Amino acid sequence: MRWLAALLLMTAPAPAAAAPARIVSLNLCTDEYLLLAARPGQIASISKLGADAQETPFAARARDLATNSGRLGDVLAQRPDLVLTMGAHPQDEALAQRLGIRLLSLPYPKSPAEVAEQVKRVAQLLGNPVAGEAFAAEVAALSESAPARPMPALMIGGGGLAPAMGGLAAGWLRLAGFTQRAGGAVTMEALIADPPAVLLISRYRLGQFSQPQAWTQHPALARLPSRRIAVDGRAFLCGGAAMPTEIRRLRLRRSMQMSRLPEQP
Amino acid sequence: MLEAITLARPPMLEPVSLALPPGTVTGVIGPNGAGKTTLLKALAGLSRGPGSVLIDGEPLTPHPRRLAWLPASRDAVWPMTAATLVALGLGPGAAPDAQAVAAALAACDAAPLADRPVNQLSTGERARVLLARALVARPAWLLLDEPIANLDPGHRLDVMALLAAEAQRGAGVVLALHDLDLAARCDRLLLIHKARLVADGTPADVLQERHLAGIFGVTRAANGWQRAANAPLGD
Amino acid sequence: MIRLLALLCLALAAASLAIGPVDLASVWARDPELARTLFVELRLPRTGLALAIGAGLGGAGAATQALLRNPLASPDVLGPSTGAALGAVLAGYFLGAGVIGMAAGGIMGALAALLLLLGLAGFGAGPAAGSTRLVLAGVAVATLLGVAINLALSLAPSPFALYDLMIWLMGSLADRTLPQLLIAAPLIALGLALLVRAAPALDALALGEEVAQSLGVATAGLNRHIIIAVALATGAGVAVAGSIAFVGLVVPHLVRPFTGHRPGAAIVPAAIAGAALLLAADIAVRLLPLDLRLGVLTALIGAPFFLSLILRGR
Repeated sequence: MRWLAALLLMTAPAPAAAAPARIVSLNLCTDEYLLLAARPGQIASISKLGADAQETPFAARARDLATNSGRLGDVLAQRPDLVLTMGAHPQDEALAQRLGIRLLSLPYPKSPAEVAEQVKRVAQLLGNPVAGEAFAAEVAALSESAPARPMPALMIGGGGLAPAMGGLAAGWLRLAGFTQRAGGAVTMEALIADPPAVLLISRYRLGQFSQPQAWTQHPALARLPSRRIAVDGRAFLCGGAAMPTEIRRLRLRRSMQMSRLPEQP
Repeated sequence: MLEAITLARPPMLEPVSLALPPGTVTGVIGPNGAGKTTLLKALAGLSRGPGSVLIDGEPLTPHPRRLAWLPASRDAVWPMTAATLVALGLGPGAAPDAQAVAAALAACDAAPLADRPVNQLSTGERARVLLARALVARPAWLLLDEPIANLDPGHRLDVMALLAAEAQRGAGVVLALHDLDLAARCDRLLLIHKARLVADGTPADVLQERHLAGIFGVTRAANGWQRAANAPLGD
Repeated sequence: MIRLLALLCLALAAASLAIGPVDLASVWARDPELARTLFVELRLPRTGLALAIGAGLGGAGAATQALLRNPLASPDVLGPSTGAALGAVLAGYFLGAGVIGMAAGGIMGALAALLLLLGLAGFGAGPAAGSTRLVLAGVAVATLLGVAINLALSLAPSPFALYDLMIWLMGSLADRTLPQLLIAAPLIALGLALLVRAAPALDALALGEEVAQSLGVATAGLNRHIIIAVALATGAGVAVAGSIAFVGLVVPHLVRPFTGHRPGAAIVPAAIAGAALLLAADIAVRLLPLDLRLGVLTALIGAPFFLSLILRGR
């Protein structure tokens, strides 16, 4: 964080100018952080994905923003003060270093708590620490109120891919009251032969045909005795800033299931 | 009766009107490219164009018992046996008739070839098998394009005799050929030259010196044929 | 011989129904309802589709070789299968069509590719298409259409589309659904029925187009009839399972020696043999530890045979 201190020192005479004025995000997940915590006018551009309603629930907030292709070379003309990304290309890191551009490449978070930390950090960088604290508080509240007896569940995405049991998505599901019972590739046969109590089906780009997408709509799934709950696949793409809302929704569905209300997946 | 009424296939054949009675062997002769094949195919109803062809007063509809067409090509794509190939001449969906197949092969001196794949036969052997295919359904009319072209002298004579026998049983035979000596054995000759029917009559009428020299560019000689002097080659 | 082939088919079908990552019998012991779902929604469609699509490809291959009087002709190598895949891709990825719409797209794609192929090969305009010209035209059409599929999938709305490329070009029967079977199978059966009806005429065609005409075969009508039938017999199957190569090319050669080399009579045995071949390939896909595509396995069996054909030929 040394460079942040240097930045603050350099711009000390104008306290409000401690916050960067032209911020660029090259990655969907950092797009979401920015859209959550940035003040108006702070964002120079976000990646195309961040403005796409098919990719993130936050797209509505990005309506008037410029978008970039996700590569550093494309945003140089915008003369950013800060470039945010996750899992940066090595070429981009080298380029940023050569040109003296502040590139912050966040690591992929491994748990909801890490997500909260990242949001706090970004919010502080943006000069809006309040937003970061609010988000972290939300996540902490969800953690504290996580159901004591989680239901065994299986979340599957396109083509039968299930998020890893110990991974980020599983961490969030735990806050919603579900334990992911298996990870990796799930064959349809295995699923039918041993159906989970609750089947969480990721809905992503429903109207757009592809073989993996068609897998999630296989007629066999409709015949399983499992309780089926639809999950907003967009939020799970990053498992980041959009998750608290989705977790709250899933909790509601879960309690409906437990009180045996008719489910609508 | 096979009638052609102002049958034409421009530019390869100018209008021709003919009446061919059954029970005769009609030869179609003429230099290469004169239009013999065009005439035969038109008579067989295989090409479209001005004029019409009637069989016994009715417009021609193809059927194995009514008419058999034998093209000059000796190609055989599939390695089927001679017997299988000849049996196809009975027509699509016809009941198998092993006897008719055997008889047709025997008539063409191809009986020993019955179980041999046709693509392994010599050209002449295949020619005889293909002829047997044309005969197998005992059609009323046989239209044959150069049926003796690949045959050795002995088989040439055999085939001419066979065709004469077919005519005797009541069929009408029309064949294109180059062998002028064998053409003399036909009941009637049609001489085609540059898309026109130039002569129509008995062999004696048609095979006159002026036609032989003027159209074919040959004259009779002591040992057969020779090039005519002052022959207007290619005219 | 047909009886033997049919028996082989039945045996393979039974094996196909029994094979899978999960032991059906033990599931049935635990929960018959689940076993029923597993059988009806997964095993049955997969086996049924292998049977139907294999039969369609085999029969269509035999009919195409008969019509074009060319042992190298085959809808799954010379373009129609690739065309069907393109038609299905356009219908499914761009027009949002469901199972029925994609089947229709597949049939129309096959039809268009067939017409393009025959037009390029100079067919129907006179003497039979020369072998060289036909194969060249077929390679050109198939390559062009394959590239078009690649392009279409790159431009499709769904970001997953391009990953489906291998499925469309090499085929797959994994996780196919009952609705897919119920739509594809009747269409394929209709196509096959039309082909079988034309079998005697196709036999006569072995004598050449002119001779067939003189025997009473309406060759222009026959061309149209076969083209539509081949599109039906292959298009719907490709829409469901992608383009599976070599079945239509190889299987007619295997059965023709038993029909006296009559090309039309080979259609029924080729259909049964095609079904058997595809069943066997799909069983191999499930049993082999490697993750191989269906088209790879049919090609593994077909390509050496194809090579030996060429070597033995001239």
